[in-house]
Amino acid sequence: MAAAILGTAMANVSYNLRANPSPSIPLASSTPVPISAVVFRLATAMLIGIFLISGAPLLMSVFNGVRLPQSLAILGLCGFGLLILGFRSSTFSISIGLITFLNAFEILLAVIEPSVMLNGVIAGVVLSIAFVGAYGLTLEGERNRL
Amino acid sequence: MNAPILWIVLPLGLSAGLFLMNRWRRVAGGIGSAFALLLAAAAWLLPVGKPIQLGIVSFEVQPAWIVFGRRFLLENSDRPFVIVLNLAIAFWFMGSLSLQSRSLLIPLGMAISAMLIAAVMVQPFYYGIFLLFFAAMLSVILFVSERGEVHLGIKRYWIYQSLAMPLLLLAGWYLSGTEANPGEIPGASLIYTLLLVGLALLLSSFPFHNWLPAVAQVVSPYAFSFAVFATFLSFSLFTVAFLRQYTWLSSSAWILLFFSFQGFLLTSIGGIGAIYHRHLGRWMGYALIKEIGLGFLTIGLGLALPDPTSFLAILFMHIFPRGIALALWGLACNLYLEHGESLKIQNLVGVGRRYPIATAAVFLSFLTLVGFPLTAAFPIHLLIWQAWFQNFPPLAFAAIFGSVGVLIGGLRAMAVLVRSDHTKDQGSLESPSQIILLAIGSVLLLLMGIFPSWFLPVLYNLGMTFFKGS
Repeated sequence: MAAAILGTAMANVSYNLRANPSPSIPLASSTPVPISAVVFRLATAMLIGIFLISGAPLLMSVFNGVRLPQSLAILGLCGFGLLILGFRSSTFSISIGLITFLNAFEILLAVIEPSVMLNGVIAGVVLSIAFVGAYGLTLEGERNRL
Repeated sequence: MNAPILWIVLPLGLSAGLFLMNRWRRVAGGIGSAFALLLAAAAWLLPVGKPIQLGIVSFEVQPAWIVFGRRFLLENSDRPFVIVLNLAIAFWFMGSLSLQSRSLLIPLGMAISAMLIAAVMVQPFYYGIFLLFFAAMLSVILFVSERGEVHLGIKRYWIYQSLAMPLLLLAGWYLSGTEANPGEIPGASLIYTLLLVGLALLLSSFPFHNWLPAVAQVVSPYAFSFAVFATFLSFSLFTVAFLRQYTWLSSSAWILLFFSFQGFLLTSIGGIGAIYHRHLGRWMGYALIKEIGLGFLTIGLGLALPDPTSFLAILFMHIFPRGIALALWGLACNLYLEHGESLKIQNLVGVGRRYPIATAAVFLSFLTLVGFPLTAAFPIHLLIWQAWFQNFPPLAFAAIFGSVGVLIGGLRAMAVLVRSDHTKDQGSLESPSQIILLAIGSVLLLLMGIFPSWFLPVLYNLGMTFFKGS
């Protein structure tokens, strides 16, 4: 649902751009990325991988009932969500980063607190982030079109 | 009649209606402010859970409302919060009647206040974190709608609030499990980590304070002042109520150290930043950082005292002076912007000659925010300074330094505002309605400063009622 909201906003922004040959808005990063930046990002991703392997047993010991695959998924989503938030500043990327980060907590809470209400509210939280992102994208698209 | 429906569901429903009629700005503003005043009066006059006799009609306001097994519970001790929040939004909505620019302030402001009230009422208490998050997201939408794009400062606010929510939720969930046996807490270090990082993000403390000057610079000052005032008031009251649910936690050295150290940092950073500002909006951002720091110092010392209620009630005393000062600053700065002026210091030369009442209101709000003698906030600042001098003087010095820094920054801005500029017409550009609203706010601030005993005891008693029940 969140992806659909963001995707619809992106489609509308792209349509606006097609209708008006103005310079493209930086939905993701439009500037070419230097090699050093790619290496730096890969190194950070590797660090997250190390954190994932070393942190998974700790997470399992802190929260009863969390298994290894869940633990890896939680830490991986947290890490890569933060990675996106740290490296990208466009509205779309921030929405994706936040949703990725929150999905990790959704998995954790689904394991430790099997409450339908809680999971429903977290789904609402994810949707609200997608909605804010879509609103921002649409306004930026309109502003760019003008 | 049900209290949560009256003070949460009705305002939320009305906010949808106000959104639809927002194109008729004055009508929406009038209805919104009248409804907020009505809600404040209802919270003042209607006791919850007791039979009320109105002529031949007898009814009772039920305190609880159950939704999917979760309870929204509004007790008599919560009524002060409902009163002050509704009075504040009524004050802001009335002020917006004199503005020309179109804004989503009225519908979103009504929804934000309903969310914030719901956050304090919901049980289990940690569910309130969700509602605070939704209120923060509505503030983000308000900022984005004012700016027309998602500025970097707004993105920071969005990210910080979104990251705070899961951390606090997890801490709350963990705490609810340890509630039964507070003597043996195996995961105390995890709780502290989650809670302190979550609180730092939620309350915009160091190093997550940098969005404030950035957003203050780019969005409408009036909407900014409202959103920051309402959300931070509720965030800080929610935090205190949340911590006080667990005695071992609220008296923990880590929590006290966190609030005291953050108070020291934020008041110092706010003071330094305000001295060197080059933009009236950024000045307000730094002044707010200093105000948040002062709130931290109040909470830190209040939680450390054997009887925290009497000191924490100071948070309530601060509400009206701070709220009126922020609203006046926002209204005056919006007037400058509406007439094509910029809030950059170098572009403000002579603006005071064209907007004399607005500039006087800005000056009064400067003095109030720094706690200058004979202003409404002076007795409150004095209480906090004295209390910290008796306990740990460096923090009192930091708080005074913050106020002095903000004052220097304000005086720098005033020196430019009142300088004569012969290149522009010197006639007043303020409309009668704007003059009346600015004058009402200024007179209220002056009266509160000259006769503090008329206002402050009432606010103090409201605070006592709230914190005794929380």
